Amino acid sequence: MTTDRRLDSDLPRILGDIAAGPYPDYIDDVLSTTAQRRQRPTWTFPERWLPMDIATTQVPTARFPMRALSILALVALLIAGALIAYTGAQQNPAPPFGLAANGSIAYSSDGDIYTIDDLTGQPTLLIGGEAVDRDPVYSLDGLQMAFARRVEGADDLVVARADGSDPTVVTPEPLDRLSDVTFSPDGTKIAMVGLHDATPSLALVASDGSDFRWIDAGGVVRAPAFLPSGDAAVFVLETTRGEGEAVARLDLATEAIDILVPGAPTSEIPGRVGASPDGSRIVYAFWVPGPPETTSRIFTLGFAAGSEPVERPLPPGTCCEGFPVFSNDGSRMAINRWLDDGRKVVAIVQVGAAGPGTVINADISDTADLVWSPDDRYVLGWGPIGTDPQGVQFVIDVAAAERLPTTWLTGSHPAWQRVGTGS
Amino acid sequence: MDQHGLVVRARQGDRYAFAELARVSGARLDATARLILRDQDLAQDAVQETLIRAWRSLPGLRDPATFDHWLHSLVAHACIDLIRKRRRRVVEVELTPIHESPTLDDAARVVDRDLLDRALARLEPEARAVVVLHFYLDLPLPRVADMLGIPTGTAKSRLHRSLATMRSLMSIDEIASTTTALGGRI
Repeated sequence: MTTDRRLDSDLPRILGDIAAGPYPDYIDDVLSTTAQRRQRPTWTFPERWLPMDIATTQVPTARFPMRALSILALVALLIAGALIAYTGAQQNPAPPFGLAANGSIAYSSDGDIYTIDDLTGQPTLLIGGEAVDRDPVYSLDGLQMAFARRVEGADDLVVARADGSDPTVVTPEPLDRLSDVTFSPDGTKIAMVGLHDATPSLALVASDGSDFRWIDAGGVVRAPAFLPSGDAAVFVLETTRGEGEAVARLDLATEAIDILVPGAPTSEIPGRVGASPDGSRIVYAFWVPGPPETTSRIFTLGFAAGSEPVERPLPPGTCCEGFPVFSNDGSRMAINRWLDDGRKVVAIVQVGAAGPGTVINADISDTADLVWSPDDRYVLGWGPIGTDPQGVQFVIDVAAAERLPTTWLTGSHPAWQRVGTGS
Repeated sequence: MDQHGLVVRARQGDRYAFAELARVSGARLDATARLILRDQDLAQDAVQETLIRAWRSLPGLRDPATFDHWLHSLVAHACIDLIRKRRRRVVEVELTPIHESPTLDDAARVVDRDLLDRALARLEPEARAVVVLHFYLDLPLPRVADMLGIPTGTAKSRLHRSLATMRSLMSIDEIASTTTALGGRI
């Protein structure tokens, strides 16, 4: 009989057995139907120059009923009272960690970069043109922005000022599957993931393009994050097939890698590894095998010598928790929670405390990527809403414990600019 | 002519080139749809929708080398769309191959297949799609996530939970089968 250990290796063969059958004899009939249809002209395909994943999915059309006005008003209220996000030399740099003022929210849509400012709630085209740009990320001081630019089926990493000016390609050549871009605390370096020797690998690049190097982590890498000290980065690492995902740390000076949380066969880390703003600990989720059943739980791990992972107890009625993100002041976390009744919610929990925390029914149908607003009053999320699998961004008012609608549709991950409050 | 050439010609409106591509891919598309949808009629609808969309949208395919990936993405989406349109769980049916493989004389293999078939049928369709795309089409999870328009972490989570659920269901079914075989006594 198929044991646990053999299931993964037997699945391809058994699925083939299940699916085996005669050649479908309806194909010719389908082709007859197809032959009666016309192809769309090439000029009607702006997505001819877009990434394939956008070209083959259906983007929901934004509806503009009367409620659009109320939505705009809500967005204006959402970030009312925050400072205007001035870009360029006039802007006050934000501290890399801790509380800051809310700047712009940046997102990509249809190959262009947009921002939502705090005055009108209207999207502003930041970077347009024929190039296909996606996934903007701000530096922690709010002065720079990095994004991917499509080039012949691969991506360049571009760094610009936060106002979109002076875009500079900082990668020596286009990378395949560029993702997980993140700035160092001082903004001089960027960590990201790209395909190298057919393996998703960690790369470090100077934000001015003066240096680029691949890091040999010995496996598949994702979700790098710099530690507040700036001298190391943590990331998720899957060393070899069957050993599961682990939490690893890279010393930036020596490029030595040590394993902070070892993997186990089939182990997975739902989400990313996050560092607390004071740099004293990391937070991550880990699939814990049953009995009674496999669940995902959140752990924190201190950097003090001899520290052991501390597990956050699951509240009653909860199957799993994951995708944790520290607030800017380090006192809370925003997390994804799967309930026993099948619902998925976002929860705001106190660090170090058990219990359900504040639960927000964000109507997410699956996991959501979350970031805190710089002032910790809101959580910006990206994930599937309802039955729409494409993913939309949404804003949670933490104090009101409710999800606020957004006016923009995007497939990019959340990015909220930090702005300094000093003169 | 190789596939690249066929795609280029089909992209320019050559119906015969497209027909050749469709015939080569047809069995795989049909099998993928049947595994996800668990219903032969629905699978036929999904494949038909896939090929119609593929023909209509082929001029928008930027890189001919990605044709297979693109086509698999279309069938995955066609299956998910059908599931949502029906707004109910599809009728779970076992898919018995018409042409038996000679190795199916192995009793243990038959039991494995039946246990897994039943366990697979009890997954949610979106989760089943991840399992099928990853294990049947041998696609890496980031590509599966791309096809389904979900984050890679979500695809990983769905796969992990699906495998755990299937293992659990298969163990329960296996014990039940053994118990029945032993006349109700363990």
